Amino acid sequence: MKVKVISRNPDDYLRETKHDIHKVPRNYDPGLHPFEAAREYTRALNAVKLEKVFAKPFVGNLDGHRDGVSCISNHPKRLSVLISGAYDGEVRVWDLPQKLCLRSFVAHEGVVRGVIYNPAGNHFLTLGDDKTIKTWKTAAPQFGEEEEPVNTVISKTVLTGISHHVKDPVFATCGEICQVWEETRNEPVRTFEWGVDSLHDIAFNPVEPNLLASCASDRSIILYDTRDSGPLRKVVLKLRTNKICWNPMEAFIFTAANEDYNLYTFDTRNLKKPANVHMDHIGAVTYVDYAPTGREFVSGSYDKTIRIFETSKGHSREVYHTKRMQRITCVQWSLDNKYILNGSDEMNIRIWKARASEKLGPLKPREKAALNYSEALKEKYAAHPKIRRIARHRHVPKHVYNAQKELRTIRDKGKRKDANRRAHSKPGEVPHQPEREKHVLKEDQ
Amino acid sequence: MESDTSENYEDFYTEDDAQKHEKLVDKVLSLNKTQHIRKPSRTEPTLQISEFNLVKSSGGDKGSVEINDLTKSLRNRKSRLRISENVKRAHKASHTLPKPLEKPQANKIRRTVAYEKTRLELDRWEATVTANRVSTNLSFPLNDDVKMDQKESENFASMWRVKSKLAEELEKHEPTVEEYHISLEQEEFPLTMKEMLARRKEAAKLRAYQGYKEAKARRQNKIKSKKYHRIQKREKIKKKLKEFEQLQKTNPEEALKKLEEIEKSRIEERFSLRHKSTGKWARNQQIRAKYDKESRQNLAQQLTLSRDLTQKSKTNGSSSEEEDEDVEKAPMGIDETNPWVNGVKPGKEVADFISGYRKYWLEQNKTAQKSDVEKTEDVLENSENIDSNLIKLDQPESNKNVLLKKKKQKIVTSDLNFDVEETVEKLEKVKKVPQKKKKQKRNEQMNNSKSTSEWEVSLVENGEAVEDMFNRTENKLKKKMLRNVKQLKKKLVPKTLAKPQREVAKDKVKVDLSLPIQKKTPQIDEALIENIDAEIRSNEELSNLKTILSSQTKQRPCDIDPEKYLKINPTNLATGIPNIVTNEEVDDQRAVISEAFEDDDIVEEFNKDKSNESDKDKPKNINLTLPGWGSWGGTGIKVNKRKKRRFTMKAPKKIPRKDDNKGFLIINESAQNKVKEHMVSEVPFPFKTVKDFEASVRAPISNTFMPETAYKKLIKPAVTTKMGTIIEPMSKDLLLNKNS
Repeated sequence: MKVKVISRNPDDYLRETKHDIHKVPRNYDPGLHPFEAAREYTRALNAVKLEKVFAKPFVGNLDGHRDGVSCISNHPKRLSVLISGAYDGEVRVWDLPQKLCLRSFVAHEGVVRGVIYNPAGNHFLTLGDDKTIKTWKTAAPQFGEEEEPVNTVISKTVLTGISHHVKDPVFATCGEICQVWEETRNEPVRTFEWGVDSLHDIAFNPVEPNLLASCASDRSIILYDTRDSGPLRKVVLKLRTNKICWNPMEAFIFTAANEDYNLYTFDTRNLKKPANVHMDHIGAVTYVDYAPTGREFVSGSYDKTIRIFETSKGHSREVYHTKRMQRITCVQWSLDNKYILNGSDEMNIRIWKARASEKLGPLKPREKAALNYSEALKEKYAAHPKIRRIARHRHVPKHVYNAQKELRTIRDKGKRKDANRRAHSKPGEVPHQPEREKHVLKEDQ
Repeated sequence: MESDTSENYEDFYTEDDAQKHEKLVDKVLSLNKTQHIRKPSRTEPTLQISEFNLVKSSGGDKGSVEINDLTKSLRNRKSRLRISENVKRAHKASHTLPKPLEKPQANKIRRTVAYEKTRLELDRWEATVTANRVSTNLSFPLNDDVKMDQKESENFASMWRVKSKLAEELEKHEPTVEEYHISLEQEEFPLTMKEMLARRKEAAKLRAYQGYKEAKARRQNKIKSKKYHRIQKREKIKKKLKEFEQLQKTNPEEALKKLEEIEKSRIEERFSLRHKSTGKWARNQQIRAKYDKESRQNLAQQLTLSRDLTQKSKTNGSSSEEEDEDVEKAPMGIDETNPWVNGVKPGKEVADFISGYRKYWLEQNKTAQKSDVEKTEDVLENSENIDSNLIKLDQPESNKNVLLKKKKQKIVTSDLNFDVEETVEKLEKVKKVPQKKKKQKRNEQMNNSKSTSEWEVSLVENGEAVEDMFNRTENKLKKKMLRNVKQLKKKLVPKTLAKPQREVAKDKVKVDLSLPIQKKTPQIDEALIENIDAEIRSNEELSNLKTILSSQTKQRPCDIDPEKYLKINPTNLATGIPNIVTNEEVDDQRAVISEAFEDDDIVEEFNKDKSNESDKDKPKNINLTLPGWGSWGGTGIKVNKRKKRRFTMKAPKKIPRKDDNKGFLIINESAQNKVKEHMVSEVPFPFKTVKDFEASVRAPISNTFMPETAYKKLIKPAVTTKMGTIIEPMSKDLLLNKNS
């Protein structure tokens, strides 16, 4: 008699070692999985909740300055080095991973207006209210040696900002006029003037390095060409622009941090209106810096918060604040796209994560895959109200909340008034004005 | 007195002290009280030059120099008449230039032009930028082959090494030599795969060849036979000679240089103490010479050599011709600087060759002269200079003893002559040929047009013919193009007319490279929901009521037009989810129910239920009175009626319900509340239809429902970065990179 027995090959269901994942045979026929969407939705919901659980963006702070931090700068070649200048003329060099101050010295009499490394990273330039530009070595002085600048240039005009060329030993300063310097010379190589208004910020385009942008106190942004032609064009906004930053991945895009609580992203080729208006701050925006990927930028404001914006979107995706952080003076996105550093009025430099709930350090492949999966789920179900609510919910300090409410009512009032005027006048006489066209006053040639 | 002062002046001049003089002049001038404006002078070099400091410097005080004044002096001379005429003519023809634009105006123009230029320049980035914006997953840094700077890596390694004290000391005294790696052009622009492979192949070939050569040399070095080496040497010399002869033909100057080198080596040999019998080797040989024949011979050879050398030094200064002969007989000693001559003994071949070389050039010159004299008459006027040279060279007999330098000249001139000959010949040919050739070419063209795959290549010597050919083909192409364009225009006219002009203008202004979005996910661009801790949903009821009230005030239809309602179709969100309940089933059910409840008074019962249900959902009045606030409170004390009335929020009496006008139907509006809060109320941004959005939600991405490979693709993040890697801004090289 023949007895039939079910026999299976153990290779089909047994794993080779205990570290392997269990083999689970699957049938992917969608008919067999009626609750696909529902299950994924639940996973997405869980993922977004977990994200909130793990959202702890504050990494640490660097204290040591004895006055407000006026400017900070990343090292172009090393991620662990940061340099900062303060309102009392002190400059400090920091070791970020250890949160240690490596060097500190008084570089200027009065405020340090700008600090910047040269592209090779072996020198840095500081610029102060005492009208001097000083060049310092990155290497700390030996024991017994005194802190001394390698070179000191005494300028004839007041200096307020500095920006370095991406590759060449050329930098630009602004103040009464815009000047382009060469590192080896003590006189500016070129000077540009357009109008008499003083300039308070300047930025070299990192992609097309012959382009310069600066903002003037007559509420304008001026573009220069450093090669021969000098000034190119001027855009006048309704209020003053405090800071300008070029997109490091898109040559013609720059973002301006404005006094009217908004940020404006411009396309250099079409300055009639901004390509995007980023609103959410409730105080003057004092600083803006792009992420090295060019996809996002971070802005610091007088309202004591830092906000992260996506370049293509009008509203912030993240807001950072702490109880003790005062007015933000400067923000920098670290060059590996992982951290955000900011200096503020109350003498501290803070380190934040660029993505609040990101796990730091190396990840195992399975962990990485799981995180990617939850990220994909969140993206897929982003429009669902529950997920949307959890993902976008932020806790803000009271003053921000109240100011926001007030601003909202003001905006609503404006809108209502417009609508009323439109309703009570001839059709077409009071046309609807889009937000993007409201803020640029004129474009000077 | 006056004479005295003049003398003083002279004294000053004799002293030639300009400063003192100036001071004096100043003082004298200051006596006279009128103000004198002096010519400004610059002392400090500055970048900004004021326009007020510019002076007409050429003419001094008298004003500028005029050309007419200069030409006046030329008028008398007949030979220079033309110049003055020319100047006059130019004077008449030239107009004064228009006044330059006002400075702000000019600047404005300059700015606009420059801006347009930069705008165009920036437009080059459009493609790259849009590609990056659209791409679903980007990994930064963008250029994948992260080049580790070699120098940097070295430094990196040295950072970890502990230096000894000695090393540090040494470093202080002798700073390390910095190595600069000069990067070649090719390194800056990365090669394509093909080029890289080709280069690698070439390098491999070269290496193999080198290895082969090395092996051969090693083998040959090991051979001890003298005879072999001798033969080898002879061969080498022969080879070198051949090369030299070739050089004569191709590059006589180079050959001359070589000759000079030979001479130099001879001179060096002469003042060295070689071939004298004073060396160690020579002494040994002397000792051996008594018994050994070979050593005796060697010694004798050496001595003759030295004698030769010394003899030459005696006759050295006599004449240049003899020196030339020296060159012929110069012994080729061992000279490290000149591999050409290495170990070559003054053999017959060298001498023959050099004398031959000289003879050859003499002959060449002679023949060239003859031929040139014949042809100079035909040649153009431009060759006057060459002719004069030739005439000089016609008397070579007198200065036969020309130095080497003069030889060079000869060579150059003769070269020129050859060129002239060739050109003349060409010109003659060209005159005859063109008409014939044109015909031929036409035929060939026809052939070409027939068979496009195989081109017949013919020699084209006449530039005109080529141009003709091109012109003809161009004309043909133009005609064709015009025809095509006309046809297209006819087709397109109605469409283009319909287009608004503004759009056309826009197209001109901006490059638009927008691409469809590759991966559709809902994009939410809205403000964060920002709250403070204290605000928790405390009075939910109140807010609910408020919303109801507000909605009520809004939805108050004053006139209901039944026709309107009838006409309107129910807005159906076109979902892809199938409707399960079908009409037939409903009808069946109805029949069954009517049968079952035949006797009961269902209608009344149903109405009761309905009213109950609606009452349940009705919002209630909210009493906000605070007992004890403004009056006494406690047990037994009733709250004032007026107060009650004042502080109660009144709910609307009737709230519209979905089942209001629907007879026998109760709709439970709160039943869906639990699900509703999970449901999307409107179609999110990039999606245009509900169907699209539903489809996107329905497609799973998890590996429980998808194969692993698909899962991996679906969960790829939009932006990936490398840990600890600096992301540098985009560089211009990206625009030049062809293969990426």
